Amino acid sequence: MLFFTWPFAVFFALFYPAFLMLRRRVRARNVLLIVAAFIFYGWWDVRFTTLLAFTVGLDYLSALGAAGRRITRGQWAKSCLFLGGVGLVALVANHGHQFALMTLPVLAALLLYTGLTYALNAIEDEAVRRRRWLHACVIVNLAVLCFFKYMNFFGESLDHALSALGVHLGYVSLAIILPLGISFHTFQSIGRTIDVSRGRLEPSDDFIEFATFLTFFPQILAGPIERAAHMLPQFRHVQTVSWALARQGMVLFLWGLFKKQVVADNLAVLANPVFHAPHGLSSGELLVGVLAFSFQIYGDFSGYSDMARGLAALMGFDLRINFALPYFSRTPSEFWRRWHISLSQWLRDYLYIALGGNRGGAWNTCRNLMLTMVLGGLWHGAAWTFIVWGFLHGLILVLYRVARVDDYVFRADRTWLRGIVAWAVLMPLIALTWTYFRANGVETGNTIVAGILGLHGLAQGPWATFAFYALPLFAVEAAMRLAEDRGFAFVRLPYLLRYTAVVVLVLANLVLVASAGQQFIYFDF
Amino acid sequence: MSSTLLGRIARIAALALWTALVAEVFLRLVAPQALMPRYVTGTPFGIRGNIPGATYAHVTPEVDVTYRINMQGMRDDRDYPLAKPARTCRIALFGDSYTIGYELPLAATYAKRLEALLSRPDHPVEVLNFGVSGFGTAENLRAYESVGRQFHPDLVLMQWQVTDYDDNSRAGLYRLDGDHLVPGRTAYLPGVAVQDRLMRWRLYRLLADHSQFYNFAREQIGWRGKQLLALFSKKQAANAGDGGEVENGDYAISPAQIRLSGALLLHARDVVRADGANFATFDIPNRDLTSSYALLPASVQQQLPPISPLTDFRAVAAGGQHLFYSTGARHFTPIGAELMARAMAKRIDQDRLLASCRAAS
Repeated sequence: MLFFTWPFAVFFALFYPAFLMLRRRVRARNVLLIVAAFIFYGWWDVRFTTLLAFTVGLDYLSALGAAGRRITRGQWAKSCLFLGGVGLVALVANHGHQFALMTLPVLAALLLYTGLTYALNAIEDEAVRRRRWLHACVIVNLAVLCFFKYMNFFGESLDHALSALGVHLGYVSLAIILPLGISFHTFQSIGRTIDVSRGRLEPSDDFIEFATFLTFFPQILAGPIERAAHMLPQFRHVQTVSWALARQGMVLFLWGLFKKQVVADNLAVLANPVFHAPHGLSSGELLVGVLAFSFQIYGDFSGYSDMARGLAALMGFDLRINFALPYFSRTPSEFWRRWHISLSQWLRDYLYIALGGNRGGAWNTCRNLMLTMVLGGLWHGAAWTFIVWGFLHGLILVLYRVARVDDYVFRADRTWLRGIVAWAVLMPLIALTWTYFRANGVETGNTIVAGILGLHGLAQGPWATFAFYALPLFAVEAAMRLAEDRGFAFVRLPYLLRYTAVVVLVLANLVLVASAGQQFIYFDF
Repeated sequence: MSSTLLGRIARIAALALWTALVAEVFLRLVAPQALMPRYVTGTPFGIRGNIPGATYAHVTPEVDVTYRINMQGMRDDRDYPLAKPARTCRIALFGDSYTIGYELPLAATYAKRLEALLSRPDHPVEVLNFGVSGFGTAENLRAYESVGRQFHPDLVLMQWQVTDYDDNSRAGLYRLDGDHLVPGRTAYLPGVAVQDRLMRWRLYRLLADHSQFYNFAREQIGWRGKQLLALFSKKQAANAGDGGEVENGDYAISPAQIRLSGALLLHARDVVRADGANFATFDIPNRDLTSSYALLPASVQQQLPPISPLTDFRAVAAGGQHLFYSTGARHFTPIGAELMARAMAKRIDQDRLLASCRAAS
């Protein structure tokens, strides 16, 4: 169910009044949110609701175990009943089709819950027990993630490799579908268990509260990857839903919609053919394609995040800012503090720091940066292009670190000119990395980069169309960036100006929508 | 009424006016819209009809066309006597905005082009254009039964296009009881009462004819309303165990809609033939140069092979020529209409559909 489709409009129109009625009764409100989340998620493919329920059940137990507690029968039963209940509803909703496919994994999961609970409860040493639960959580979650994300890739790659040696495995592709949002909710729940094991967070015994946190529908498909410490308290209390907050939510939703439907989807029309067949195109055409994709991915992903935050605000919840004007960054480290912030921070806290962070000298810091970025690339999928993308980002980070560019750019006596020059140097590098991110193969990426560097026919290409869709976004964000520096905000504009801006936004969302809508890019990750 | 309330009302009115002004300016500057007012009203037969005697214009970034509706509700610059003139053959065309010739000057409509292609000095052919924007097969049939047959056509050509699946089920003028087509509701006049009331106001007509914002809003409401209705009708079809829908272009078509449309076409043929006239269907290709007629039951396609310009369309499109406009309501260009008319003329000659009329005269 996409945010800008009729099914979602109908879903939300039915959900929202019910939410407003129940919003003061925390438990009932949370149950409603869970039911709504499963309808929202199951609309895409009802079979995968059981996978979501499995993650909820496993991570509920894991967090308790990682806090050193022994799992009680009641806690175990909650997980089992939840998974069993969701499995049953999913089976009925699927008209009993694929009975074995829908029941056997649920039974296996119930056995896993039971086995883990009994085996780990038996460990006397609390520290060992904590560790084992954390390991179980990370291993099982990552195994599930890897199965769905990488199984086809590795199976096919192995088959290709062995075929070259004359060995035929007869590998049959399982045609594994990637469950929507799996990377996001897996990381979210792993993060919570790690926080608990590190003693930063007290695990809650309240199953409904945890399930609400993990399945909160505005952000379940493409983030932001929320932190339990930020979200769980919100599900514990009545949230204020004021007209002012709702209005802010609506404007944010509209702005996100504009970034997605108007900017991203229209620029996709320019980018797709370039990445599909780059041979023979002029430098200008290739450059437009790369720039169009750079804006497309930003509009697409940050648009989703804005819409998610807007919807959450309508319910009185606060989701973290996931994009903070990243295309106005001056150094790569600033870029990663502004781009997909929730993932960047996740990787920083749970991977980079776990690898040693900047402890252990310059060499180790550079190695950790490289590893984090390459693994971050792999998180997007099993393809060399993502590895190259991660590698390039790692390399840029390392080079800037070695050259101490951040110290120079951000030093106290910084000037406008220095900032602009730093920005002008960084942005082409970011665009270069996007080339490999989007390309169907490294070869294609090389072709595009070489073509652009050839500098022939730079004026050719649909520059006007690109500017028509990219410039308004750029201009608004430039104004926001300037305002950020000066402590200025949209809400302080005169009423009529704000109202006019909203009218224009609504109209743009109606008249400038691309004829062929695109799915969110990050649904593939 | 308190002054506070008055103040609020005044503020809301001022904001509404400001919104309309901003919208009008924005649309004109950023995304010019087509001005395509619809001059339709209710008829005594329970369906819509063109407003007799109306003259109006459609302006899009590509065309500027004036329409004149004769006093009999047809797009034409003259009226026709009910009795057929001597030595003249008559063809009655039934269809929607394609048939009425949206975005085409009268002479370029396929009705007029067909007339020109078939007429001989000694054997004139009159093509009566009964097209009304938004019509589906059910309304075409009702229009024939209530008005068309009074003109004694020798041949009835009924338009088919992809929207008819949805139009036919939504109109509800006929429904299927098992395999049998039975009459449904007596009237289908969507939005006509409101439109009639509004059309009495000069200000409204001014908006309809000249305001890009008004035309845009009307199209959006109509289109999104249709989408919403389709969502529910699809759900109902799915709930009724009707099986999966078929995707055709932008449309998702349910098996129930396909069966109903097939039955309607066969029934229309039987009604026309019972009056002694010949009957054929003509297929308006989808913009992606596919046919939605191919979704109809095989028996319907065999009994009523459509007149289709698809082969010629593909050949011409391969040469880079545009068969549909890219703005406005995106109907046929003059080339598209010409090819449609040629396909009709070819089939009429091939199947000797006017042979008895010509022999009699």
